[in-house]
Amino acid sequence: MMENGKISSKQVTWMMISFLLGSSILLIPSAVASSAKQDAWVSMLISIVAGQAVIYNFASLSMMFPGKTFVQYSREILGKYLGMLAGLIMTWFSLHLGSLVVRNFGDFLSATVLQHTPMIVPDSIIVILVAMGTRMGVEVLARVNKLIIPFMILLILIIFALGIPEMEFKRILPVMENGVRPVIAGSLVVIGFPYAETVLFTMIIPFLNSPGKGRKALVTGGLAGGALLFFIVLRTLLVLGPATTVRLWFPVLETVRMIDIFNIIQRIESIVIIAWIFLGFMKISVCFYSFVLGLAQLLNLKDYRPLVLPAGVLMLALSQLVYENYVEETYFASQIWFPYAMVPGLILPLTMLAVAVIRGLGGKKTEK
Amino acid sequence: MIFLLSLVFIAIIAIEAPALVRNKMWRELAAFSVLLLIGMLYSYGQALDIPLPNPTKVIMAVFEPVSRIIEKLLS
Repeated sequence: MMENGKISSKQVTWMMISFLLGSSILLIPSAVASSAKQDAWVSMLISIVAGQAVIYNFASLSMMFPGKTFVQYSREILGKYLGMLAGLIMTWFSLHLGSLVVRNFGDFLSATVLQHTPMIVPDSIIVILVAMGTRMGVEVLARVNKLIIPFMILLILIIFALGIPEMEFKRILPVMENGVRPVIAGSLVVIGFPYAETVLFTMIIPFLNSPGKGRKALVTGGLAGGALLFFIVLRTLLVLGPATTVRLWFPVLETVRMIDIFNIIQRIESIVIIAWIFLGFMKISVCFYSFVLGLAQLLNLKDYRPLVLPAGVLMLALSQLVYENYVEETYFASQIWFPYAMVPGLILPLTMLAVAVIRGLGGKKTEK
Repeated sequence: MIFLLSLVFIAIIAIEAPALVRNKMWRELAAFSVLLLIGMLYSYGQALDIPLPNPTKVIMAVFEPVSRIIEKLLS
């Protein structure tokens, strides 16, 4: 047996929320506002709707094959070789995404709080933690997440409320000044990052204790995470305005730095950094888990645990290599990521869903 | 740096390999070794400043034309 753990549908919903927030919570406002300007919040609304379609699509595919991961049913649907290729693409995507998030994690900490520490230090620590969590299995990850994420959401909401004195409504006017095209361009960025990335949950929902509830749990999580992201973007725009939001690397952190209530509550940005570290940990864990489990299933291994430590080395090494400089990072995230992430995120599951329906594969939802 | 890296790799092999050999999990041992070798290649390569194939560059080259088309449609 590859994985003995069982997770509940509520835990999946919480995991989905932290996956959506992890790394996007700080990077999304400037990524969306760079094309949509003051209409970034409209872009967010569009991408939340489109993102639900992406989630619904791959969740439906998973529902047809309860208890099987993407790598397992891809071979069943597409045959031996094409199925292997599809599984390989998904496994590669989880490794690449994982190393990109590790890189973001290190970039953020060395730009804000650990300025004199080499980036490899925080990166190694987080990868070691992720490897430990992954070795213990998906059940442990889901439980840790459910224990901590409610506090993180509470913190985000408190910080949102504390920013209200700095907000000015005129900063998001005029609405749709440049027509609808920049708004759509902005929403495409969000559909790719983070919504298309959630396809990695096809490697996790097979371990649900009630397989029939998987799709509902994922869509609920997608909506809740999307709503939080929407509030974060709106808040950043209202506090900083579009021009400053685009110029800053981590605008959310800046809006929190500005909070100063009667000279008593101030300098609370470390709270955001704590939230970022935890959410980043969860996102890297989901990527890492999908990678080792996917690789083990591709190679027909009995257990994924022996692969955890070498996979950690590889992910850490790749994370230091993936970007040469900050310009390349921004270009990759804003221009290349959307079409790239769409391949495993939408095109591959949609094709497989169509083939599975035509070939009449998969059980009718669930028997129970 | 090289010394530290080597220590890490020896530790990883010492943790995982004996149990795999004892339980005769040869397939797992092979996968473990290959994955660790790739990881070692990339770690030593970076420590010694040897240029290695960068996956991000490959992805960029493949998806650049698509991203140009999208950009043209939306500007």
